[in-house]
Amino acid sequence: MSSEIIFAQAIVDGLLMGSLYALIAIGLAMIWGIVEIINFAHGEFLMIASFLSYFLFIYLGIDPLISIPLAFLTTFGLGYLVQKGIINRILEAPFLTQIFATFALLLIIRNGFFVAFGPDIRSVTTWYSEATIDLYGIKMSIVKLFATTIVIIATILLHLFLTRTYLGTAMRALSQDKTAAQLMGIDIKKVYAIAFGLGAGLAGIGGALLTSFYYVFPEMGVPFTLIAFISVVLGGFGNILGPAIGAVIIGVLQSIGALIMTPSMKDILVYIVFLAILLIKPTGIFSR
Amino acid sequence: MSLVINSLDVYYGKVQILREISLKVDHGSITALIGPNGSGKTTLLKTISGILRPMKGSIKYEDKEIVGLQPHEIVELGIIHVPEGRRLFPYLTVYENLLLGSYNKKARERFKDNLERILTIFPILKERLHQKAGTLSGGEQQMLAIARALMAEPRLLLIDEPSLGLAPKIIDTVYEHIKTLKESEKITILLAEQNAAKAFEVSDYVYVLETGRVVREGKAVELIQDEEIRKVYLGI
Ligand SMILES: Nc1ncnc2c1ncn2[C@@H]1O[C@H](COP(=O)(O)OP(=O)(O)OP(=O)(O)O)[C@@H](O)[C@H]1O
Ligand SMILES: [Mg+2]
Repeated sequence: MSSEIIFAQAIVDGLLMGSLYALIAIGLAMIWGIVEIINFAHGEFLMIASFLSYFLFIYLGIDPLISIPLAFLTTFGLGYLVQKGIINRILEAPFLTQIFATFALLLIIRNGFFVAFGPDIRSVTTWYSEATIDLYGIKMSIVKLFATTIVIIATILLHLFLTRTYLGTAMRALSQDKTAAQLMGIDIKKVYAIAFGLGAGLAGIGGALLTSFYYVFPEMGVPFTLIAFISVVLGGFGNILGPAIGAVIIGVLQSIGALIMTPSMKDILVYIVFLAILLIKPTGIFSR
Repeated sequence: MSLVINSLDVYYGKVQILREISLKVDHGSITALIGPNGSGKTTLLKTISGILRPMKGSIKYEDKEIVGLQPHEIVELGIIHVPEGRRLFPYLTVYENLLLGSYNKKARERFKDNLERILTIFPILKERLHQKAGTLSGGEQQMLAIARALMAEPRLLLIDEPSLGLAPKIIDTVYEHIKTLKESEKITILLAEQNAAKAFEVSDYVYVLETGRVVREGKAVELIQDEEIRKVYLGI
């Protein structure tokens, strides 16, 4: 294989993985921007969804890709309840209290899964797990292509929701002026709960997508949470495009990093670029 | 009576801001709250709209106690607050700001009709409909703040310092609109205003606040004859 093809292959792989990161990062950014809470347990919602679609596959034979809507609804519901039951009660609490709350949530969920299911690494094999299509010598995994398609559709739907509906417009208003939003008759606690649910639900879609080509285990969320954080810091949370672009950049950098260094060093390139950008523009690439 | 407030005490933390405030707002009237900086006008309006909770006292709207209701529940009752400093959503368009004005259930159904009607009252906003609210001039922003409140179909409108930061000519235009709201839209208005001359000009009844207490009250036409009021508040 020529080196151009290898390089192009790395970029395509990076774009496909980056789009999945984007979905997870958008979810984190929504919660961060609208509810103004840093959700350390973000990767745990992803993990829960991944376990859900894993068990649905193992016990009921439901294809992981078919279980995406259910994974979304489940994590949406859990996110909604977390906001309603916990975060809405500590809205006026100091920043640190809120951080500890989501951190405690992370510990409870992750360790709960350890206790219930052990540290085993699970995975599923479907007929399409290894399937690829070939484009000018570049191989594209069918599941990842499918995942990217789902991500694009979900992002477009989210964009339409945020710009074309009362509730979506209310969410954007809330992130600009909370008191004024209340004066419009917006029940902010309810809208917060829906926003948290949506953010968690996006991570859930990501988790269900991962089930068919990644590993399912209690700590699987860790790298995804980290990447989502970096994406949001890079791209900001003012709109959904910023963190998405940040995430895709990370996917491509990882992939190129794995190519020019060794796969285990792939994240080094990400952090070098991350630090460089923060030094040049501490407020992120797209900050207004 | 539209609004009846009885011995209201409001605190910020441990500091008492409002003391034993009692006042009434008559249906279809413009009632003004005047008083110097820090006298508690904004605090009172925020308490009526549910942003702040009183320590004690009652606020009855159409004979219904509203202390303890959430701000969005108070909006549903038809009490709409145009806050000090306009508080528009600067990164949303004029259209989106107006849309949010009609967020409550009843107003939402009539969004289209109301929008059309309100844009004929404020034609300048029609030209700016798809512009970000933050890019409007001060006068335009105040018009938008009032228009946004009208989209909610208010029955009682609380307006805080509509003249703030505006040129005298623009202040006149804003107050022309406020008078129209009372006369042709039959909206009851409670107005907080430092510009006492303007407040006396448009209102039917005036309350004077000083350090969180009502120190004087009366019909605008009568109170304006008062020597002390003229000297302290009107500078004549
Ligand atoms: N968020 C707050 N925390 C603590 N004290 C406050 C707060 N907001 C206002 N105050 C205090 O409450 C008092 C009344 O303020 P308020 O804003 O109600 O006055 P105002 O009559 O509206 O004044 P102005 O004409 O300047 O708008 C002031 O002494 C002010 O310092
Ligand atoms: Mg004030």
